[in-house]
Amino acid sequence: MIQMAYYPGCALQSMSWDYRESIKQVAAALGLQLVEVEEWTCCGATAAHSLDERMSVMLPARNIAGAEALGLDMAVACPMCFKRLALSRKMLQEKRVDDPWLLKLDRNIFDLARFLASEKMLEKIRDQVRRPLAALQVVCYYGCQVVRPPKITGYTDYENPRHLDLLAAAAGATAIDWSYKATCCGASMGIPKKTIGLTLVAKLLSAAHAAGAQAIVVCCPLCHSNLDLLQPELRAQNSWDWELPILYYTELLGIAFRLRSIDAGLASHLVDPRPFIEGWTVSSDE
Amino acid sequence: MNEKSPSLQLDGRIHLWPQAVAAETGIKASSCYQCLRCTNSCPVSTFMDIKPHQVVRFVQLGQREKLLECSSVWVCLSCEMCSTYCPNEINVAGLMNFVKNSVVAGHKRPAEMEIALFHEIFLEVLHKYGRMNDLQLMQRFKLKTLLTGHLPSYSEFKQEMSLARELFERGRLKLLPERSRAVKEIRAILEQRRGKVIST
Ligand code: SF4
Ligand code: SF4
Repeated sequence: MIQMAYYPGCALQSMSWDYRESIKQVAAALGLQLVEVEEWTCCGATAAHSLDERMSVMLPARNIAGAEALGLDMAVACPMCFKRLALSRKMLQEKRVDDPWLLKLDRNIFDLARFLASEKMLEKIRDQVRRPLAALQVVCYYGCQVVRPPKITGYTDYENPRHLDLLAAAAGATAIDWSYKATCCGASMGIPKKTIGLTLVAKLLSAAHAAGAQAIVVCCPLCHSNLDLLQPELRAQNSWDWELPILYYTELLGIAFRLRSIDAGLASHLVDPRPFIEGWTVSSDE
Repeated sequence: MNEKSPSLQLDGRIHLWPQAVAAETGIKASSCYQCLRCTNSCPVSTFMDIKPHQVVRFVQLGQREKLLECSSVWVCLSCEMCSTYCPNEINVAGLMNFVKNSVVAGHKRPAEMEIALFHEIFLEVLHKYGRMNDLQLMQRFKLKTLLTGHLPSYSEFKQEMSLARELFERGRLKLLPERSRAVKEIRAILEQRRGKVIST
């Protein structure tokens, strides 16, 4: 049993509960115990740093203190939260802001997807696959928050991240190369300036379709909402005769693990992936 | 930041604002040689009135007022493409953000009111619950923009209603907002912030 402190973030507690559910089920299958940071609070997202940078460093610090109280490394589900927490930690380490919590900062902060793509977790994942998705071709979409800026995230592969590709491969699927892995989808403008979101999402979806993807694998609740919820409107606008299910990496794993418990989450997507699943598995493997 | 610091003067006087920006943010706009890599990597530069490389140039030139009035800093998605690819390691996204912060701290009217209000309402919900809730955020934002005179077109309205209905039917909208018991600590942090979005 591996234990980690867990920061789900607000999106997972409200609109993106499908991601939260799939994490819970997949973590249980893998023997990963995620201990929620007690009474965690919002990381401040885009709003806090846009209005006052200093405040945006203090908001996540509270949660770092919560993880330290558990004495565990922290896994963060949402890339936006991950970046805000990692940035706050760095600013505190460099003593650029006050630290009323007297943090030790001796614990790591992990992006959950990247943690699951570590060799020891990949092995456990391969052991759990009951239904390899051998007929499925996906593109993996990482978005902007989880890889950049490399100085904060510490990632050296920011131009061509691979961890979701590795997870997709572990589920038996083929991850196709494409050029939009870390292009921003514009989700933060989704509500106040929808035209920006529509333009960027249209570009991403058509690129994924042109690459031959049958689904897009994502790790960010904001990307998921943006890519999934805008599809009906974009389909009508551009007369597309196709649609692309948007799957969290944990949903993809859940499907390959044959976890029925994630079905309700899948059903909440606007592009329902369930009717496609049969076609993603090779019948001789059944 | 000093309200009275001079902007570009073509009379040979010393320009203090660029130095003040560097001192406050640690970002050296002076190393920019206008290669345009930031603008070329920016996914929303087409939506911007002043492009990312021009923002850096305007900082060099001390054109503070122009920057405080531009809409591009609000349109910026903080996707960090510019900062990641600048050959001189200039944190362009950080400059964009610094300008936004300065508008708010100086109680100026943001050029992109809806975006700024959206951020403001986000913090309002945070102040109340300690956590975000999509439904609360959307409702409050719609109400606020209606009150400040933004009427959606019929087709916009229809589109929004049909999406809202679909989300509701699929169980995506959580009606009861979650609250963190640590909300008091959050309030203390929020209340120390500088400035507020002026919407009138
Ligand atoms: S990429 Fe850097 S050096 Fe080039 S124009 Fe932008 S800020 Fe200046
Ligand atoms: S951070 Fe802003 S300015 Fe920089 S590339 Fe992204 S959207 Fe453009």
